[in-house]
Amino acid sequence: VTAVRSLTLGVAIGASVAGSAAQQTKPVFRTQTDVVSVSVAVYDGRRPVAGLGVPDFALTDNKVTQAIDSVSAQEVPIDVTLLVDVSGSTADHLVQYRSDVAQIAKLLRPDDRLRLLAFGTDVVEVLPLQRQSDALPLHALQMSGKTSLNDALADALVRSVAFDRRHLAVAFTDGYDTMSVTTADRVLEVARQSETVLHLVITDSASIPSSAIPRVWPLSASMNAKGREVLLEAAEVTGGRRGWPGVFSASVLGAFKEIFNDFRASYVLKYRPRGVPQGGWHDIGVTVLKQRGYTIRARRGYGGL
Amino acid sequence: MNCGHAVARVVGIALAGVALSSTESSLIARGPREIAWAMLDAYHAGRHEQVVADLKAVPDLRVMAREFSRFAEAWIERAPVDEREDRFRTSAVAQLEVIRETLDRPPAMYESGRHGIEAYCRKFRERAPSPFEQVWMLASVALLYGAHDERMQLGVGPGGRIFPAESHARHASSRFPSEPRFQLAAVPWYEVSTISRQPDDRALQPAPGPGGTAVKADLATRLAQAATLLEAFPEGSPVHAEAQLRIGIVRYQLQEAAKSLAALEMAARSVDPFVAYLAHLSAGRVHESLDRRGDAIVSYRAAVGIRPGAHSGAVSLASLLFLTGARDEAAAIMDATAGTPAGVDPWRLYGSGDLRFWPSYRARLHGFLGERRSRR
Repeated sequence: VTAVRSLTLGVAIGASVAGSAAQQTKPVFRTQTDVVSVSVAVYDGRRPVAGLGVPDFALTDNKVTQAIDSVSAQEVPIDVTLLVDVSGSTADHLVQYRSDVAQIAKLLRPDDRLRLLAFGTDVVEVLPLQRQSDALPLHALQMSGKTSLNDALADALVRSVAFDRRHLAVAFTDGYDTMSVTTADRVLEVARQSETVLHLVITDSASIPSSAIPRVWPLSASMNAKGREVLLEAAEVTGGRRGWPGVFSASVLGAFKEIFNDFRASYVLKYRPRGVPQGGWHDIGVTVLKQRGYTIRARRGYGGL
Repeated sequence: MNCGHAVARVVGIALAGVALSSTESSLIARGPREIAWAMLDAYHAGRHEQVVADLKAVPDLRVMAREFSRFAEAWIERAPVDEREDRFRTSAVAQLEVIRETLDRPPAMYESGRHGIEAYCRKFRERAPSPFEQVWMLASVALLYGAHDERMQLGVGPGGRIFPAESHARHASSRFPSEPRFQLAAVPWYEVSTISRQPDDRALQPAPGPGGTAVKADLATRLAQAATLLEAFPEGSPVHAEAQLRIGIVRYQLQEAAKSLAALEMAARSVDPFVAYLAHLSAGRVHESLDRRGDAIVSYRAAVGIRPGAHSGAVSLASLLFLTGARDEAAAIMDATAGTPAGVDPWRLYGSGDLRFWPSYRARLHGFLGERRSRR
């Protein structure tokens, strides 16, 4: 049993008032934070813990205890954005990626939705966000030279999340950007504010010395090992995980299954911040009461507007 | 670029779906040559697109790219004497098609293609300069710049032989001194890569030190030298706006924001949307570095206005709007971009230099070939 971890978690939804049917389809983000939604995964060892409710959680916002309005779980539909690296450095994975994406699409429920972003030299939305489709445009996953990883991550992180849904983004990549206009630091900055939970699955665990990674374009500063570390931190700050297929599972498909099942089993806690200034960074702490052996994974906080 | 570079030995090749080993040298010599001849016949007859389609079907182009000029020599020799110059021109353009195709392949294939340009560069120097050669040189410089990113992906590092494009542009400029595109291309693109360069950038080599040893210029010195060379392009030059764009980026890297913005402002007035887009996008980056987010947003909006489907401008604008609280607009911009035909995103092509001109150069070369063909 792992030690108790009271991680600082959180999410930025500067969000709409709950319960309005109109707002459920089109969230209205206001200049102040009304409702904060926190996606929380609770594990007993490696097994997700089910059946928890409002009385089981304690939540603090900048160390001020908050009243949790609601806890929802598996019934919340999920929007999945898959980000697939089709750059030259991952050419050997392309056929497998196509197969994996087809399998991944089958894991979704009818009310879940899938978006597919391919990133190589450019970032292309191969599949717009939509419910299950038998005609996945897998042929559009074509190898494309360089790697615009940061741009793809920023793209996924700024997409809106409907109030009644959750957004999971999973990127499969070798983790080295060579082309983006977006810096890794900018990705991290956006991740801190995003409602999306981002997981980064590194498909090539080989360690590449930063001196061997070319800087193709002058204004992007992320094309080195430090940049990759910043991206991995961006995943963690959203409550996502980072690692290699071997860390999650033995394959990309296996990694996604594990991520997706855990996400499905995670909870969404909603509260209205009280007793804390709206602006600035908010550390969020979540604990499960009466249980000291659980591991909790979620966002670290959010930036108030 | 050394036009006298020797052709290296080729080992382990799969060509046109036939796996060949280095021990089967006779097969290597015969198989690819016959394929090359068939393609040359088709190209000579004006079936250019068919040849491109055939090239796409060749799984490994290393032999074709590296040995094409040698195969073409034999193909030219088979023709009557009065047709050989026509055949030479056909083969020179077909060679470029082979190299263009390698740019869409895994990076390891590109290096082979460079030898083809070197070979034809030697052949042209045996002839008097001509309008055909000038366009061929423009096209070959474009392809070499288009390839340099790929070559860098090979891991060519400090001390390695990189960036032949600039050397080639200097050779071309010596053949056609009044062509400003060669002059612009010959100014080393230090703003694109910070990788150490081989010391054949004679134009930018610092003077030998007191002991007679050349002092290796650091990046800042090189950038400043490049800016000085770029500033020599006068306002009336056809490449003035491009030079200003490069100056803007170089000055930004030198942390000279005011000079950078002044140059980018001039570049932004360009009638070439490629240049204007990049000028606005780069100005946005400079404003951000000065923590002027409002100005950055204005610049990014201008870039997006020029190329609504270009992802680089959209994601720059959207991420900044997102951080300033305009989340709905940020998401809407990315949604709209995804649904807009992208075309060429200038950011993705800037590092490829003149590659964007390849289609027009190719068309002009086909025009030359067509004229000769109609006279035959």
